[in-house]
Amino acid sequence: MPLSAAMSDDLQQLRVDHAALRMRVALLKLELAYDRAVKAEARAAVADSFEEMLTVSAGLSLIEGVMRGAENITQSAAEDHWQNFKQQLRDKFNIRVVLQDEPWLPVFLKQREIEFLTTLEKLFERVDSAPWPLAEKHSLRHSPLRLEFKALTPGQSLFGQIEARLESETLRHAQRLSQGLDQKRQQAIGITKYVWRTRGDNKVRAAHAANDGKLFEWRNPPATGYPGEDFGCRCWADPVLDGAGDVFIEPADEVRVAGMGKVVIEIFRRVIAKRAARQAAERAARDAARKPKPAPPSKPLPGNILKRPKDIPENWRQVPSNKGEGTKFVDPKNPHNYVRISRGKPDSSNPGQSVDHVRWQKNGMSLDKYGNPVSRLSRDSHIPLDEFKFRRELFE
Amino acid sequence: MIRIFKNNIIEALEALSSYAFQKTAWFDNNQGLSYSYNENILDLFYDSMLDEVLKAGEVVFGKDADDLLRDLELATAKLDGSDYSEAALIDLPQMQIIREKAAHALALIKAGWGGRSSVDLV
Repeated sequence: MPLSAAMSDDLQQLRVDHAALRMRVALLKLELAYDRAVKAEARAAVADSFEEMLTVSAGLSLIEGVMRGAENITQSAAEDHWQNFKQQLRDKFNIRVVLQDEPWLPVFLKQREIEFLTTLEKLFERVDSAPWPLAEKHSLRHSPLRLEFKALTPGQSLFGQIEARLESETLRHAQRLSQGLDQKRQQAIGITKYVWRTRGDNKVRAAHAANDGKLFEWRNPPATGYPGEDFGCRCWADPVLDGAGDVFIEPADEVRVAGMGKVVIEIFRRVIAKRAARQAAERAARDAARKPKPAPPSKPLPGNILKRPKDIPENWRQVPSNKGEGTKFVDPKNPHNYVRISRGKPDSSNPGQSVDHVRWQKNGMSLDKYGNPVSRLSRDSHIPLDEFKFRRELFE
Repeated sequence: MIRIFKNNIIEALEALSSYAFQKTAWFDNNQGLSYSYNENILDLFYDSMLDEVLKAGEVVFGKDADDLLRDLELATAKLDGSDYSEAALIDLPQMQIIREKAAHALALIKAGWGGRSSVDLV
C-alpha cells in the first residue's frame, strides 16, 4: 500500500475518531448541562419547601407563644377593665372606690382563659396538620390553610396571616372578658340595669344600632345578646342605678377595705336611700296636694323606743336596728334571745304596726306579752310598747 | 358554731315571697296578722344571724341557695319599707323582684342540697 494511501486511511480514521470524540464530548457536555439544570431545579424546589416549612414553624412558635402568655393577657385585660370600670363609676356617679378582693374573679378569669386557649389550640392544630414540606410552589393556595385564612389577601405571607389571626383572637378575647366583667362587676355592686351604647360609627351592625340608647336589665338580655358579647362587637353597657337618666351624684369618696363590693354597696345604699327619701318627699307632697291632711294621732306615741325597758338585764347589749327605726337588746349568752323595739307607722293600715311596739323571742321562738310562744307574724307577737313587761324568769 | 333556726328562715321567706300573704296581712285586719316588710327582713337576715354567717362565708343551705340569699340581701338592702305605705309597697317593681328572689331561694332550701352545713342548722 503506498504511503500516501496508508496515510490517507489513517487520516480518515483519525477524522472519524475525532468526530466521534467531539460528539461524545458534546453529549457529555449536554449531559452535564442537563444534570446541572435538573439539580438546580431540585435545589430551587427544596428551597421553596424549606422556606415554607420555616414559615409554618415560625407561625406555630408564634401561636405557642401567645398560648403561653394567655394567663398574662387575661390578667392584664382584667386589670385594664377594672381601671376603666373605676373611672366610669367616678365619671358617672362621682364615686371613687378601691376594691381589693373579688372572690369570684379567679374562677371567672380561668374560665375565659380556657376558652381563649381552646381557640388557640384549634388554630395550632390546623396549622400543624397542614401538608408541609410543601413540595409544589403554590400548593399553599390550595391547602386547608388557604381555607382557614381565606379572609386575607393571597399575596400576604402565611406568617402574616397567622399573626393577624392571633391579633383578632386576642382582641376578641379581651372584648368578651370586658363584657363579662362589666356584667359581673355591675351586678356585684347592685346595678341591675344598663343603657346599650354603640360606637356610633358606620361599622355598628344594624341590630345593635337599634339597641343604642335603650334601657335593658342584666337579668333579661335582648335577642342580640349583651353589648360586647357578639363577635367583634364594640358596644358597651352604660350602668344606671334605676331607670334611664336616673343618676344621683354623691360627694367623691374613697374607702379601702378587703371585702367584695362592700364599699361600693355601702355607697350605693346611701345613694339609693337618698333617692328613696326624695321619692318619699315627692309622694308626700303629692298626697298632701290630693288629700286632706290626716288627723293627728288621738294620743301621743308612748315611750321612747331607744330607752331600755325596765327589768331587761344590764348586760344585754343594746344595738341599733338594721332596718327602719328602732333598737334591739340582745342576750350576750344567746343571740337568739332578744327584745326588739320598733317605731310604729301611724299611717299603717295594720293595727299591729301603727304604734311603737315590741317583739321579743327566746331561743328563736317568738313570744306574746305573757311570754307564751306565738307565730312571729301574729298580732300577739307585736306588743304595744306601753304594754310590754320584760320577764326575767323566762331567761334564767 | 353559730346556730341557725331553719324554720324561722323558711317562715320569713314564705312571707317575703308571697303577694297573697302580704295583701291579706296588710289589708285584711280580720286575720289577726301583723306583718311589715322591714321586720320580715330583720327576721330573715339579722335576727336569725343568717347575715352574719353568710358574710363569714359559712355554708348554710348549699352554695346555690347561699349565693341566692346573698343576692336577695343586696336587693332588700336597697328597699326600706318605712319609706312607703303598704299600698304603695305591695306593687312596687322592686318588691316584685324581691318576691321572685325569695321564692327561688325558698324552693332551693326546701329541695335540700344533700351536703353538710358548716353552721349549727336546727
